[in-house]
Amino acid sequence: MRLDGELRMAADGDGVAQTYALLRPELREELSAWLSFRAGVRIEAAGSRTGLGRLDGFADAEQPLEIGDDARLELDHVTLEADLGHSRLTLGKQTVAWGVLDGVRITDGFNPQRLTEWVAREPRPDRIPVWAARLRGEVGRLSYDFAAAPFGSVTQVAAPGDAFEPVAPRFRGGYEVGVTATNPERDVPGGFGESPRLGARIGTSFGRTDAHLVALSGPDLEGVVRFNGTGLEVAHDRTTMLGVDLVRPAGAAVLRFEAAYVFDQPVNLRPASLPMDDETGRLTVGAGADWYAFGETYFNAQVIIDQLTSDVDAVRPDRDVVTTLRVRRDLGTDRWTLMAESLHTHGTGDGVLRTELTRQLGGPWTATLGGDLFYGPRQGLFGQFGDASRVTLSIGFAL
Amino acid sequence: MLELAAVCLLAVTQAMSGEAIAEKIANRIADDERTGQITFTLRDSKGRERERTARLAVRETDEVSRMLLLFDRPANIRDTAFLSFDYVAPEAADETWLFLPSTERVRRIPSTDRSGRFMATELTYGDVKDDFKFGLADYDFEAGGEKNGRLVLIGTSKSPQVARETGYGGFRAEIDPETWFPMLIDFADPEGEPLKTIEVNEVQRVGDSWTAKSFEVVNHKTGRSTSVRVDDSRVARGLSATLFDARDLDRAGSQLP
Repeated sequence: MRLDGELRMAADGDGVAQTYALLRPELREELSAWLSFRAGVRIEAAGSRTGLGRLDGFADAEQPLEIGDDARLELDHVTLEADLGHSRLTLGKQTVAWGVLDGVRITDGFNPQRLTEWVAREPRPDRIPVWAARLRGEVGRLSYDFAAAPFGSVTQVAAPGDAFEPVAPRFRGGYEVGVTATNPERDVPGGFGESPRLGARIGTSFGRTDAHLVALSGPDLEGVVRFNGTGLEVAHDRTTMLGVDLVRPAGAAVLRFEAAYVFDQPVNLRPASLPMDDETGRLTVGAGADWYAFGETYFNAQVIIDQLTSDVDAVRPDRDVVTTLRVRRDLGTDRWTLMAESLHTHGTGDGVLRTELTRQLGGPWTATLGGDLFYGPRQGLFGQFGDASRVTLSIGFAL
Repeated sequence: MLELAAVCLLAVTQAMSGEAIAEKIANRIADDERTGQITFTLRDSKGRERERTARLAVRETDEVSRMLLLFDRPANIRDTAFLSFDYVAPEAADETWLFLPSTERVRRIPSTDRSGRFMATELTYGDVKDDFKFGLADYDFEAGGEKNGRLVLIGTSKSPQVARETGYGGFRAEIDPETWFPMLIDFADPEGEPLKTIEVNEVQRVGDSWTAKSFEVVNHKTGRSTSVRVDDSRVARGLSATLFDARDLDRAGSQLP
């Protein structure tokens, strides 16, 4: 039996922005030499402007249980894993972490993610486990990883009025906050087999280069705002993606590359009287490197280009270019860890600067003091949270 | 009689050159596969301690030394797995992977240079890779006579570049002539100033090879120190091949005894 958790508070210009508690008990059992079992639950509570997020993106079978207004109990994961020699089969509620870049999702699209604090959480992405079957193994020099999930849960966002509610028009069908009833319910394909997510990742190595091909089909995790005849809803049409990732060490650095093409990405068009949408091709390419410099300081730098490939008059820009830089250093006998991160969108000129200083306290305890500074225009990926800049303090433990 | 044999051995070995002693150390038998439990006690300059415990598995061939560390304590790094491939050929860059449970991914990570600190200890990656041996291509060796029944070996970095790469300008070591194990090593930094001391408290025989069971590393510049203790060392031939496969690093916990 294991238990970890966290108590977190945040303050912004308006006072206390977040009070949050998380408990995660977990049980692990080796049932036999080839069969293992894991189960964990997530118990969380929040009594603040940074809440626990909307629930309408979850399929019924994956939805957390509400305990009053401010607490939830969620079956975080429960898996039975069978070691079949050259392969292993995992059944149950689980996460499938693909991709090679840090903190951004290009081919890493099997699980929905929690965006209740947008990108201001560690670790990122915060994947939401889904019921799935996964088979992975090796055949000769090839590795394979197949996964199938029958329910269509989608990415979770903050509730209306919460600190990290997306307010940029690009996330609201092109409308400003308050212009129309733009907090429509999500039309989630949550029935069994209604819109399953299917994925495959095949890998091999060329010398010291690790390469994977990825194919993924399932409901669009973000969604578009659509008029359904009686009102607005967020629709999650099926999309199909093909991708590739490469990792190669180069001297003291590791180089990473990831690209994905979505053949049928739904996007909202510039609003007329009613929200409109269309399908377009979408190419996302990212490259990065990580290395040590200045003693043992860890650096990670990445650039990501997200491009619509068809000529559509979309609400979102045709191209987003985001750069990320993360620096991390352990101090002393690793009692202190300093992390600083910059995420910046070129063109719109918005971004976020994040810092965290973590102190290993005695026993199982850690304390983290951090800050998130969002800047730039309100229509941007990060600038929309200009009012959510904050200072955070958290106490974590692991038993 | 045994005393006489030891005196004779010492007399014979005292006549050896520094190069010959270094070669004896370098050719010390290492078992090709072994497991154990390793405990690092990290002390800062004020004497405050932190302890890390990991399960250890090593597989060595003539070309590459593979090492897997699976951390059990403290709980906040539990199940973190670290896999390194250290290639014997000097032109081959070492490879390292890390599995962090929180990120759910096995990640190839950049290799720090040999002088980089190993897992926040006072050991360097080079120390771990060399396993109480001295790189024959790194130093000019000189025999320094005898002290306390041990042979004294003095090494001087072959060039300033080597000194920068290893972090050491040279060393003075006391070698047990029976096991060819360095029991005390005083390292100097590239400028020749005293840097750190590694003192082996206990060696043990695992299969056909001698390994350090307990040793202490003191950094004279920072005042920090690390105690390392290896328990339950055993020869473990026939370890699962997937144990040293980076793709399976996320399940090392269920595979490593």
